[in-house]
Amino acid sequence: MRYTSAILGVVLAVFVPALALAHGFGQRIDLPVPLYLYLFGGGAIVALSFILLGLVSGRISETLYEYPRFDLMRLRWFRIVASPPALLPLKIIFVAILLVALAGGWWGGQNAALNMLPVVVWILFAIGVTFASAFLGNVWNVINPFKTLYEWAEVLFQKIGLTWKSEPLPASAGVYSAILLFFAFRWIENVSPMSSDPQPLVLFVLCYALVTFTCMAMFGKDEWLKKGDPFSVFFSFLSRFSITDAKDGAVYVRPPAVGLLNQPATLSETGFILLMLSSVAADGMLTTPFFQNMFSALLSAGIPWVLVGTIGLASLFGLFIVVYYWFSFLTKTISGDTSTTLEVARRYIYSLLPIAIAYEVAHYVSILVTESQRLLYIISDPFNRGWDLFGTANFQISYTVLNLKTLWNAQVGLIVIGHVIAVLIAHAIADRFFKDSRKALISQYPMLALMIFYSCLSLWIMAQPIVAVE
Amino acid sequence: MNNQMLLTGFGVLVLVLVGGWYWMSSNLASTPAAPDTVVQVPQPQTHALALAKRVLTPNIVTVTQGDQVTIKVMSDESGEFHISGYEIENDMTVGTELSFSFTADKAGRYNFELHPKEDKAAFRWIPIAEASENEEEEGAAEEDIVIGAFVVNPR
Repeated sequence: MRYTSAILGVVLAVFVPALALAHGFGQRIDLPVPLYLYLFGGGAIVALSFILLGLVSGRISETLYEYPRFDLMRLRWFRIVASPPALLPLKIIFVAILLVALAGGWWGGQNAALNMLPVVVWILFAIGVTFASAFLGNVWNVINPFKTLYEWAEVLFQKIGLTWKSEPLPASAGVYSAILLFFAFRWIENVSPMSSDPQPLVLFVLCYALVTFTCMAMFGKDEWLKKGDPFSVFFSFLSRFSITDAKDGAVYVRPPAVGLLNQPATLSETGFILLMLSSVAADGMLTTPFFQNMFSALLSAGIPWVLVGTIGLASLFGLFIVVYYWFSFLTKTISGDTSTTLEVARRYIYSLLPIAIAYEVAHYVSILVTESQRLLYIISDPFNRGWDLFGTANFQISYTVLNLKTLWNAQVGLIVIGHVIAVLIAHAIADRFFKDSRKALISQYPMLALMIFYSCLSLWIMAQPIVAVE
Repeated sequence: MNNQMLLTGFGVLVLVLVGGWYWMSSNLASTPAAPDTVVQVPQPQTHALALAKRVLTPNIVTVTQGDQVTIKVMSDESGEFHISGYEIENDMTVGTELSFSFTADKAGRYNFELHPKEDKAAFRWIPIAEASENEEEEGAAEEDIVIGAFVVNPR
C-alpha cells in the first residue's frame, strides 16, 4: 500500500506540470464558489425557469424578434473611425504584437512567466478576444494579424505581377475543417504539456500561420476565414451574442443576444457550436477532483497523459453531441413536430450559447484580470535581456484587485443571467416556429431541462475545489 | 393558461425560499467573521511541511485571510521554496529546517513552487534551440515546479 502511494506520488510529480496547467497558461487564484452560493444559484436557475415558462408569451417572443437597431455608419465620426485609413494603425499594432511576441518567444528567456508569447496567446488572444467578440462584436475580423499580413502580401504579389486563382470550398465542406482545427487548438490548450513553453508555442503559431496562408491562397481569403479558419468561425459565432452586427457595409447596434435568433445553423455549424460548448467547459472540468482522480488512476495504470487527455477531450465533445441529440429528439417527440431530430437540433443550438458565454466569463475573468498584468513588465523587457524600455520591468502582479467574495457572487450571477437569456431565446425560436404558444410551451420542456442541467453543471464546476496537485 | 399561472406561482415560491436561504447563509457566513474584524486577533498558525522526492506533504495548507502564518519546511533537496503570488522566496538546504513567517493578507489560491538548485533535465521538456544563454543566466533556478497550494479563505 505504501509502495503504491509512493509510486503514485512519483508518477504525479512527473505529470504535475501537465495537470497543473489545464489552461494553456496562467495561475488562477480564485477559490471554489462556497456551497451556499452554489445551491442558491441552482435554486434560482430552477425557479426562474418556471417563472419564465409561465410568463413568456408569444408577445414577448415577437418583441425579441423585432428588436430595435441603429446603423452606426450614419454617424459621421463613426464613419471616420471605421474608415480603412483610420483602421490601418490598429492593424499595424496587432501585426507588431504578433511579430514581437513570436520573436520574444523564440529568442527570449524560456520561463513562461517572463515571456511575452504565452501571455499574448493564452490571455490576450484566447480570453481577451473571446470576451470582446462575445460582447462588443466581431473585432477579430478587423484586427486579425494573419489576415492583415496576407492582405499586404497579396498587394505585394500583385505589384510584381504574380496572381493566382483560388477555388472556393465546396458547399458540402461546411465548417468541418474549422471543427478539426479548433479541436487541435483546444488540445494544445488543455492536453499538450508544452502549451506554455515559448519555443514550442512559436512552432504552434507558425504551423497555424502556414495552414492559414496556404488555405487562404487556395480557397480565397474571405472564403477560408468564413468557413475554415477555426478562430474566425469561433469569434463570429460568439459575436452573434454581441451588441453589434456588421453586414453589407453597415454596423448595427442592437440589444445583446438577439443575434442568436437567426435562421437555423447548418449541421456542421451545429457541430462546431457543440465543440465550443464542450471545450469551454473542459478547462474547468479537467481540474475538478472527480476528473483528476480518474486521470491519476489512468496515469498510474501506465497510460500516458497525452492519450488520457486526448481521449478525455474527445469524449467530452462526444458526450455533448449525444446528450444534445437526445434532448432534440425529446423536443421533437413531445411537441409532435414533423421535422427530423437534426432539424430540431439545428434550430435550437444557438440558444445554448448564452450559458457557455456566461460560464466562459465566470471561469476566466479572474485569470484575465491578474495574468494580463504580466504584459506590463514583459513589454519593458520582451527579450529578457535586462532592458527596461518603459520603466515597468519591476512591476509586480497585484492579486488584490480581485475581491473573492464579489467574484463569487458575480460568477453565480452570470450563470443565472446566461441561463435566463438562453431560455428566452429558445422560447422565442419555438414561438416563431410553431406560431402556437401552447405547442411552443410544450416543446420547451426538454430544452429547459437540458439548460437547467447545463447551467447547473457550470455552477458545479465552479464550486469544485481546483485540484492540480494531489 | 391555468398551467402557466401554476408554473409561475411555483417558480416564485421556490425563488422566495431560495432567496431567503441565501440571505440567511450569507449572514451566517459573515457573522463569525464580524467579531474577528472588530477584535482584530489574527490567529497564529504553524504548518510543518516535508518535501521528499519533490512530493510535498501535506501539499495543501489552508488558512484564513489575516492569519499570521509560520511555514516550516524540511527538504531532501536544496533549492528555493517559493510561494507564488505572495512572492516569498526562501533557500532550503538539505538537513536544515527552513522556517519563515508572514501575514496571509491576500485571499486566494497560490502555488507552492520549488526552484531546484541543479538542473534535472528529466523533469523538463528541453527547448529545441536550447541556447547556452539559458545556462549562463540563472539557469536551473528558472525552473518552476508546482509542489502544492496555499489556500487563503477570504475573511
